[in-house]
Amino acid sequence: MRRRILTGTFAAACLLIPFQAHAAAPAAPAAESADAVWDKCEAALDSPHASHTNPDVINVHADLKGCKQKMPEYSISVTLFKEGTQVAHNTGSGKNKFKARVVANWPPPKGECHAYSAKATFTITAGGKAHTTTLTNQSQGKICIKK
Amino acid sequence: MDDMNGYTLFLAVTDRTGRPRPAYALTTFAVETRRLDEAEERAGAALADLPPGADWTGLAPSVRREVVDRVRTVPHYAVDHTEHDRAPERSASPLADCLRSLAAGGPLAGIAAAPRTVYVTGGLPVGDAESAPLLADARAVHPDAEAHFPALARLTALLATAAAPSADNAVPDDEDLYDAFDRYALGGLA
Repeated sequence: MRRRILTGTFAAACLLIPFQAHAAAPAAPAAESADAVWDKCEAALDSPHASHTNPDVINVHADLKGCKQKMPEYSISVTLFKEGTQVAHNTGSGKNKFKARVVANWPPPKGECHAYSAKATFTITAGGKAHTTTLTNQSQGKICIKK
Repeated sequence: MDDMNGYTLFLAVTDRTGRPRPAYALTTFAVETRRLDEAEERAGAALADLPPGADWTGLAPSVRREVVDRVRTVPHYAVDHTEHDRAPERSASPLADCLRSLAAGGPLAGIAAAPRTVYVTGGLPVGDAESAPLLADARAVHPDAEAHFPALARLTALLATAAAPSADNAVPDDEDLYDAFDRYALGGLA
């Protein structure tokens, strides 16, 4: 049996914003539905940040996690913006997964500092019903790439 | 042909047929071949303090957090852990089933047609899976990952042991080894 340590705190929401994130427009809690198990899935979009593996690249991660059962089908679409202009986009999809992450990244010209934002749309399809939510987030100030 | 093009895949098989689930699972670590040596070096540094044969569930929380932080610096394309959740004991090749699933969806599907080299950990023979996606048209399939890239082989094996607590939400993100990667999926066959 799968262990359950994340109980109760998710209430009726189908998604949670990571505590460190500053989501500009968190979606309203999803209405209770018969497909209640998917209420435990968490959609999360982190703050655009410099990549740990390549400091010349800006990353943003879009996650589906926290599910108590495997998602029959999922899709994630994530877009990275530099001061409102799209600079990167990525998608991912799959079937029968507990969790999944997709990244959008972009290598700015070296020596430049910019503010970034991101938007991601998450869909879990179960029992013929699509559960979709969209999150936005922004960088914590400007991110500078060294020359 | 430029050997630096494409991707290098490391595979770790968990085979506990006849024991509690998951009876069979495939863990995959993928890296751009041009960054393979750098990945090996950083993985070696990230795992240097771990005892041989370390299992993620047996590590102290403080050690898990430290390793996750260090592994974040390891260049990679994606990781995946696929449980064979459809009676592997009745399959002609559970490994082939998992490889077909990898190629069909999830983080590795996008590179299924790209040039690739495959290293298998644990000296596991691929057997009937040699004609499966990701192996059939690989430049080479090496059964001795540890002999070529010991740190990345070890990281892949460690990811196999870290899959259950990640999928079960039994560890917070900062103790979840999968959280160190930019693309991943954990689950069953597509």
